[in-house]
Amino acid sequence: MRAFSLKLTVLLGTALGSLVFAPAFAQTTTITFYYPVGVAGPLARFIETYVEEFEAQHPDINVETVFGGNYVENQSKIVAAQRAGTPPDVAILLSQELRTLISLDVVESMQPLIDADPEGEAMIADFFPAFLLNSTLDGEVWSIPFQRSTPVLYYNKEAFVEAGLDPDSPPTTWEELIKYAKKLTQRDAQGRVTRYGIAIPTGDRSTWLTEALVMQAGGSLYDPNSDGKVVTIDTPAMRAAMQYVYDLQHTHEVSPKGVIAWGTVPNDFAAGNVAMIYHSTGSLGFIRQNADFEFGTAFLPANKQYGVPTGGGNFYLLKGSDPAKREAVWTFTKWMTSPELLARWSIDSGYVAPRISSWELPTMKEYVAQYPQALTAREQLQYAQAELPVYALQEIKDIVSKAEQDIILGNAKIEEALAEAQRRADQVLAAFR
Amino acid sequence: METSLGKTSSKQATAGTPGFLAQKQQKKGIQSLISSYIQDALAILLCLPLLVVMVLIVVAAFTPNTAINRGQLFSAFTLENFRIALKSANFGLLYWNTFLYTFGLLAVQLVTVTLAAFALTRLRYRGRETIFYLIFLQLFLPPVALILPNFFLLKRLQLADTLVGLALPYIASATGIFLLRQGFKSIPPEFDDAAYVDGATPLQLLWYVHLPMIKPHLAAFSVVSLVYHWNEFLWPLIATSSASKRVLSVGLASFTRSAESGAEWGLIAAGTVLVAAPLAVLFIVFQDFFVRSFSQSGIKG
Amino acid sequence: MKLKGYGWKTAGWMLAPTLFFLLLFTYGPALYNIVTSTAGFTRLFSSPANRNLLGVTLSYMTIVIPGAVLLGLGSALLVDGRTPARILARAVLFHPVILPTVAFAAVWLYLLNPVSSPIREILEWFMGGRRNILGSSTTALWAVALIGILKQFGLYMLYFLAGLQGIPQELKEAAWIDGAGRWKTFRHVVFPLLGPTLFFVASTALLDSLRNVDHIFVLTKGGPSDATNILLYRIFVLGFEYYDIPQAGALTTVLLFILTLTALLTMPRIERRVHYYGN
Repeated sequence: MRAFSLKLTVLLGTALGSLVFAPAFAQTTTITFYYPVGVAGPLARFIETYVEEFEAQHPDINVETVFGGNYVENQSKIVAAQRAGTPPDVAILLSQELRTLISLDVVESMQPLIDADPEGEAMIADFFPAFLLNSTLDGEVWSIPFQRSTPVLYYNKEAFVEAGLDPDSPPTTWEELIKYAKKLTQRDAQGRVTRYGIAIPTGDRSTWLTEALVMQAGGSLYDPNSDGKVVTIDTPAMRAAMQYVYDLQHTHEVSPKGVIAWGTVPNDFAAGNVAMIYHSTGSLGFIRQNADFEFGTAFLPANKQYGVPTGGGNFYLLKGSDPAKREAVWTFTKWMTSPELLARWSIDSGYVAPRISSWELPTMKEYVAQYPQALTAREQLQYAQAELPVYALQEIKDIVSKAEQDIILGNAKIEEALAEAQRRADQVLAAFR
Repeated sequence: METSLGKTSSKQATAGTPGFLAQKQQKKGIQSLISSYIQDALAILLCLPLLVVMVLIVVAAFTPNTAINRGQLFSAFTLENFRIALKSANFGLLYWNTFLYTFGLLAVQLVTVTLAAFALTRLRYRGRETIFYLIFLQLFLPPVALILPNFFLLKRLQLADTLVGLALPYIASATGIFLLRQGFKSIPPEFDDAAYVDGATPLQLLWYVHLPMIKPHLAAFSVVSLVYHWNEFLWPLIATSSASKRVLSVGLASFTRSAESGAEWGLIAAGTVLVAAPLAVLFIVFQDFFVRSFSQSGIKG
Repeated sequence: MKLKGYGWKTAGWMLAPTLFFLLLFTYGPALYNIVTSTAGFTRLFSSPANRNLLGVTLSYMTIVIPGAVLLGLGSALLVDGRTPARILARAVLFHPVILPTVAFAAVWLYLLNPVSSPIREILEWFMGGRRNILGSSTTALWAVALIGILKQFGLYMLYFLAGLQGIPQELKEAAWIDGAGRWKTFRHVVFPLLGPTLFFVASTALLDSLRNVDHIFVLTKGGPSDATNILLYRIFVLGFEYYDIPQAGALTTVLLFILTLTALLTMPRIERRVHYYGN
């Protein structure tokens, strides 16, 4: 019933909107839009530009933009605003936060808006299925993908040639990666490393790459049938992943030691001090601008199989926002996630355009022809899985990443650290069962 | 303007010491001149590491990011970092908002803080100590720890997302009161007695007698308040939301706080220079006023 | 000696604005927090993640407070005077104070990078080999504390400079002429008169060490392995990232309790000992 009346309003609204054409008569709807910036550089400016263009094309809609800081700060701000009774209408939040956001009662499903739009179903079908994994719950689409990524392997082709490796065949398995990394690691006369073979970021309270390693080892960091209430940390796959990361640093000595910060790894790569890195496709733009050597991108090497989690942010509808503005919210969301805009955003930022038809556009084809590295992430989507979609997300991430850091730093044995982390995670998630 | 310590101290010495001591002082003159040079050298040595950091920031701001990443700091010159930084945010508005917030707050603080410190040191009444402790305790209850309740309060007062609301939690400043209290305490009570005998009101006493004497303390507090609020990040991020109310620190955050990609050192440095420049200029001007206000303040034993 | 009868009537309106805002934005919210946070205490004490919190916080404070106060005092004594060298040194030592903490921390993130730091050679010489200073649980706390000191001590230097100007030149010269050496003059004349300043700086440093956590966000995010997970950062994480407002509130209550206790214990004692000239 509610969905029906909403549908009716939307239809009526569209009809009225097209009837009342002159801006002078149009009633202006103001919607509030919060967005984070996930990647360095003046990306906030791009978003503001898109919004200005949208407003110019839609004189009846006024979009109030709020830059909320990074993902975490932006989400805090939204929750605070919502608790204070003034939620924004629409926002970009991490796609994997869905369950946490539902448990906090701050978001609403987008499905009714999709259903109300005759083009809705076709639009959703145009997204890569992998990017919808974190949006969908019980067949309902809660959020629309916008700035999406997967981790890829960046490698320095010049270093490859120097080390006698084929610059067109990057490592495809863990064993191969170790072999390559050993060849790529350079030492000076005193035995000090002047170029590392590989760097895998382990800092910043993130589990993104850990998840990738676990998937490659044939496991998963969570139980997909538990509705986000069971994480599986103390598993053979996780143990294998941890052993791999530990060995790169301590057994093979081909990686910088200690916890490696996420944000400075692309700099180390661009400076030529590390020959291969695991990093987000979102860093493609940065590396393209900063590396003065030829570089390639490849799938993250497989152990038992290829595997990466998707990442990045989606458009969410905020609970408690004015229902009368839903039509304007949908018009805006649809415009921002149109194939044309997503292609533009992908070229501007380095994110993967999440719509299939974006890649058919001439601008995108031209871009890919010029930078074939951008294709890797799209190709890799066939092996992509959902990113850790559990309740109490950040707390769980902290538990996993502390265990990983304890192992890397030699503060704890793999078995002990993982068993302890499992116990603590179970304790946290017990509250949701 | 005097720049040599030798001049200043010898003048003060001859003015303040009887003749026979001044003679003795002359014998020590050369010795003290040498030790003054040693002190100069030590001062430079101490600041050397931070001088390197300072130069590094300024140089990095004018160096292409590609070169910085390779550790080649003096290799090339560019204004690109500034161009991108200025394009990334409306700096005119950011400067103006930050100026309004920090200086507006300071103006109000100077009044409330001076009055309160005066009342806590120069007036006698029952419960003075209790009130002092009550205020002093706030020195230990940083508003940062109370961000969430304060934000909800602002919402209720309809003052969220306003520059006034941003400033309200800081109007009662224990730091300022404590600092000024030290100033007031160093003024001998005889001044008050004399003023009261002449029929002055407490406000007149404060304005004409005390205020000139606590100038250095007011200056010190101004520096603290400006520096702290100019660079404050967390509270403005939470308390304001619309672009028209954004302050510098939040604007800077859009390109210094990266999450998914590499660090744009050159851009960060350029942003830092842009944000810090007004304060740096102010401080260079202020430093002179600051030092002069001490010598004029006439604090005596 | 009794002053004229300007009591509560005058003091009342002078104190009113301060007291009003103090109640509204400090004591009100603090009390509200204490009352509403009781539910968070069980989780606060049972969570293993909070186990090392106080230890890490105390270690951090033990490095930062004396470090920043002594560095501030030392530099103030060195740059006291108006020679060009000292004016330059003063400006340089003070400059981190005017930089946004996040930016200053970002500079150090660049400088301490184990792989591509421009001062790698110096770091390796200083540390006796290549170390991932921010990425190791044995060195990260020291690094974060040192950066906290460098960011803040310039302000304390300024306070001490102000205090030094307040000490009558005649007193210093009299001691100097009496044949007292530099150290003795400092120890017996300058230092006692700096008492109030020292007390103020020490309390400010204590407070700053607890409230300035912006650099943790940039440098370590509390890691590695919780090695730099200090109290206020944890409160922020609990409140704004876990959305566990009761637990964040409970930890805030603990923080408020510690602070109040410190204030009540130290304050009257030190107040009694300091020398006020003019009294």
